[in-house]
Amino acid sequence: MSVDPLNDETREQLVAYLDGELADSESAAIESRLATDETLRAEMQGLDRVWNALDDLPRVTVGDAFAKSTIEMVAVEAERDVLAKTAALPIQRRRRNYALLGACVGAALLGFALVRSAGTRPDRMLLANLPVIYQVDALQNAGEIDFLRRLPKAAPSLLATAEASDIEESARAWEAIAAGDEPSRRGWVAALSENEKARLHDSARRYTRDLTPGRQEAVADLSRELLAAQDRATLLRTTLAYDAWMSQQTASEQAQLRKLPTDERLEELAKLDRRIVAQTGRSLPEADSAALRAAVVGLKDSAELRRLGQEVERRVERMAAAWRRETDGTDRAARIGQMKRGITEMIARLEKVPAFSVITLAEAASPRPQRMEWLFRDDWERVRDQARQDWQVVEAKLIAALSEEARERLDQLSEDRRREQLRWWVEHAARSAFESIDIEAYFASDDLTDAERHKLLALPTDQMEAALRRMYVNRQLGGFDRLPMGPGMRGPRDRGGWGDRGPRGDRDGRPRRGP
Amino acid sequence: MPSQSTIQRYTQADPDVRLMLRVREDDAAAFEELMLRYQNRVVSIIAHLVGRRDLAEDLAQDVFLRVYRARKRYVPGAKFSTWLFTIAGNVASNALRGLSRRKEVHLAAAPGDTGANPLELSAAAASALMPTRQADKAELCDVVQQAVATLSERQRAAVLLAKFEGLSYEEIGEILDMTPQAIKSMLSRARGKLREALQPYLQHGQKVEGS
Repeated sequence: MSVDPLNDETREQLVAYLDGELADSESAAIESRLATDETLRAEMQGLDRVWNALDDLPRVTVGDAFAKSTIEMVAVEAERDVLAKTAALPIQRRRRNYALLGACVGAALLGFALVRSAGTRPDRMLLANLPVIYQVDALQNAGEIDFLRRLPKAAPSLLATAEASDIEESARAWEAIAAGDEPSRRGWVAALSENEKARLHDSARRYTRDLTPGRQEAVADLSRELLAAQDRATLLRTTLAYDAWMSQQTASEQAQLRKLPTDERLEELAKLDRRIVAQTGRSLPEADSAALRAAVVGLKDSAELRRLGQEVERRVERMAAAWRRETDGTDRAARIGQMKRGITEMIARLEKVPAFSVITLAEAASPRPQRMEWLFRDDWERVRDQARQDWQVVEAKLIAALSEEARERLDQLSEDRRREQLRWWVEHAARSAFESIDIEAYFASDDLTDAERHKLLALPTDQMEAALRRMYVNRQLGGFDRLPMGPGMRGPRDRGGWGDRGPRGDRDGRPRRGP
Repeated sequence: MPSQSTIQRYTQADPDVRLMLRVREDDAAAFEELMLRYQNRVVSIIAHLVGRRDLAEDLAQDVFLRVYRARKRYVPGAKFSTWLFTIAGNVASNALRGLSRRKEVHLAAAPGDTGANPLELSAAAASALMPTRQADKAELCDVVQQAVATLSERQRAAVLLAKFEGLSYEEIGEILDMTPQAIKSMLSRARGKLREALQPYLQHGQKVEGS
């Protein structure tokens, strides 16, 4: 690449000359220099060429639909304006002046072609209500602002179970969305990944179809209240943390909590909070955590861990095939796509993150594994029994890695409680803070396939580093660096209060936690 | 608030100003006429400012909606196009702000299926090109887009307004809220940058086909 030989001032004069922006005297001066200076001439030609190259930028044209739909929107606004003006008149006058108003109205409205579509465009509705839709579930869980203000005191450990960095990011996004105007929100939505977009539209559909107008208003009011409050920063984070915790609970637990009035709910949560404290209070010493992590990594390619993922994959394919046969509707197709997307992420994580596999296997072996039940329907008991067998093997290896003391603690527990405790310990160990990692060495190591390296190289540097780090922690250290649990990633939900469908297991979520 | 003589001057000289004054009186035909005259230009410039063809139409509609909403307050203090492109610039700017907040991209999402900026993706492809090879038209298009994408938001706006709208430094200055001298410097630096980026592709004195 050649270095630009011009100094700033000369280039300015040349460019202005090319643009016809120089005064006559300055033009003359430049021209005389150009006549004698070959280098300068070449530079000017270079600049000129570059300017012409811009003609290669694709030119954009719009079809008829553009003008038509824009005018439609304007017509809608015009009509709304008129209605507002009419409504603003006192009733008596409204009737008397209607004729007069009608004349003005007619002129204004008829002017705009009233080829109306049914209602305003859906995505405008989404954008207008984006702050509410973005966290419609969290808002419903919260119920009222008083609850949110008292929750941190009542159940601090419960709130602390949420992933702080994810909460932080979601809270900031929420505030930014609320503060943004329509183009800004549009940009934000457009930059979401396909999965995130699908989830957002899902939320929008829930908001518009599943909520009664009364509930829609209540939720929208709460959102406004929150965003306008002085202690907004804390309130938003509490809302999100509570929602994250809720999504870990079973469908019926969620429904029960939602039904309770604020005072009783807080009491119930305080009780759960004490239980969490009791559990984590006796958490593992660091040496045991490290040993567990190493054991998890050692289990990476074991048949026991892989089996569950394979079952899930097979099941999803069968379900998708059956749905396709049953019906032809596009809505079905979209839902299949959505379900597959959510499960695909789960399957990928089962394959790539051994700690996650261990935890999911423990969950599948539990007495009533919610997610497996939903996914496998009548077949879930078979899956659970196989999971229990596999868990026996895995558990033995995990226990073998622990210290004498830790093993003693487990000995005292029943089979179910022991599995729960180990699952909790593995997750806790996986979430430890990790020291800095030699990313470059890892990049070059055998652990990555060529395809993965290629994909990484296509990312911007900071994202590539973050991804590498995550892979290293997941695969080599048996940990979670940042388990992506952004907005919309949930466990099974019960919408029994305001819909007649069952638990939604079509999205991925973290395994159930707690007793 | 522009003076009476300024108002008179622009009303007389600029037919689009006169159309807009009719829109101020709720004349729908005038609004439609203005839209037809400017829609491609507005969509174009927004597409290049924001780097997203798919968003450009929606954003352009926002621009015209704003024009409609502002009609009662319209006072001709400049050419109509200056006023219009100021609005377009603001809409594009806001959209860029919204886009830039989304920094998180998970590894699970392949580069192809995120909402990634298409200009960024072609950068990877373009970097594989060897500069001394004679570029054919399609590659050049990519490369020019990529070069424009390296400019700052304001530089891009200035370049696009100068090149495609043929606006003077003073007019561009009104739109971007800068002095004509500042525009002059900025355009100069921008074109220097473009030159550096495109140099390898224009090396052999090959004039790029253009209009």
